[in-house]
Amino acid sequence: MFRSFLALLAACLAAKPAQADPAHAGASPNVKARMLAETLAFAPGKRTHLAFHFDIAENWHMYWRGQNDSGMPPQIDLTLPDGFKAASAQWPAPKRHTLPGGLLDHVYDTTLTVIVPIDVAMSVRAGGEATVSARVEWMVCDDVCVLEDAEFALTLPVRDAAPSVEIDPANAKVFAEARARLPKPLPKDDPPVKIDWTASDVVIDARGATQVTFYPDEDGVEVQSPITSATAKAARLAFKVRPAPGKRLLGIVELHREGAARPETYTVDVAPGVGAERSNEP
Amino acid sequence: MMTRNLFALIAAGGLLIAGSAASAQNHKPDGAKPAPTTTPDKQHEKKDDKQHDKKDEKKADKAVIGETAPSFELTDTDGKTVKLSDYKDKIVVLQWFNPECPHVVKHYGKASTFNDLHKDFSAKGVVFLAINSGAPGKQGAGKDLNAKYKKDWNMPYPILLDEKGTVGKAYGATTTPHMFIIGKDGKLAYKGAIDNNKALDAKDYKNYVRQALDQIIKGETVTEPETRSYGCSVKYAS
Repeated sequence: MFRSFLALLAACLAAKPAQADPAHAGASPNVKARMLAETLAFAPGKRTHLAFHFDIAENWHMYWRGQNDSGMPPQIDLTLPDGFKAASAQWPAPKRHTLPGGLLDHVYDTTLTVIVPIDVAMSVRAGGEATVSARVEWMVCDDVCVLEDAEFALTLPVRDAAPSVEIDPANAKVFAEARARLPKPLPKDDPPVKIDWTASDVVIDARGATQVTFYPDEDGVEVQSPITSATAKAARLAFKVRPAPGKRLLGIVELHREGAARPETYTVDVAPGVGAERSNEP
Repeated sequence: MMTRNLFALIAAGGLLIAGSAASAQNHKPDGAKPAPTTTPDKQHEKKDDKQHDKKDEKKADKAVIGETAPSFELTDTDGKTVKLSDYKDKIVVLQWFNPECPHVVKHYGKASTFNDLHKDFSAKGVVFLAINSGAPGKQGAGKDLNAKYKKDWNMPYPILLDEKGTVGKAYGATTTPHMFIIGKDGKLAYKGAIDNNKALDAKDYKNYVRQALDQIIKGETVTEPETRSYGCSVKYAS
């Protein structure tokens, strides 16, 4: 009861307009959210990026769009002017979070930055201004959960970019740190990870790794019992999936190596292999 | 994930804060929201998996679509014993429940999703039961607290207390809400989310339970028998 009272108190305080930036200590909001643009202007025919940056209070966590037993990843609903189009959002690698009852979630603590590429059509006319707005809802939990949301709007001039769009130096650090946490595409030549998917069996080989973890994406083929199967303190990880029409193996693989300061993370997007049900998609 | 959304623009109307690069912000808890959020592309239908191999399943007792639903006997907030077998030959809707979870609150506090379902389907003989698998001392657990919410929210069906979590685990209930529909034949016909997590007034809002109940009553095949549930974790003891 006391915990839920605290959550209620935190929620009440969070309801006040966030004029001053409240610190994370005590009964302050659980999450401080911002929307930032990478550039000082939009430019016809060019891509820029938006970042949704969440500072998460100590001991609280937010959710990745993974095969979670509970939770809800942040929902970002953009409203864009004509000629502006958002591409797929880029998410950093999460952490595994287990709960009583054998539940597994994939979460972020401390900070989360989601990067959304915005493509501006050539047909957009330079000269005026453009406003991008977003409604964002997120769930944040410690032992209890709170749903919070925010509205953002960002107005930037629309200018022809010659030779490139001007970077906003005030936001460069957020984007640089966020990109450092994004999983990398697997290199085609001499990849550090070999993935074999046959029927319901997936084997991930990462030579030289001391630990391999697979974070399954919610849109990908379902991993069986990921709480026990999707991580191994070895160079080889084997788990079972439930093949289904149109489902690919989607997610992030994380490798720990002896002596390395940080784990390596790579994006995984693999079509069904021999014996697995073929995709319905072309 | 990203969509242009007129609803969001309208909803945002009075709240938009013109921002420069360092954007303004506005926090609100769930309780202050005008309506549940539009949440694009959250739900992903999972087809009934014909290749499902029970030997591979760690939780082998977990409720499986098309198989007999696990039986149970629990006590409600009035101290009355309720058994699944009391409702033989009836369609039964189970709703995992925690009155202090915001994903539950939004369907009782601001909207009346569950009470509306009860209103529309109890006349057709469908039985509704809420089950709270929260362990003593955890958020939303306890007989008195649940009795209070049942009264405050005018819940027209019992809240069963499963403090040991055995029924929750037998069904594989992971979230609140988490919905299960048992057909007249006693077999599990639906498990998953209450809805597709879009705003209740959105054009593409879909209530999976309503859809499944309509189909079961008409004798049709349930087109989406299994969806990914979302919400707070069930507050199990261990």
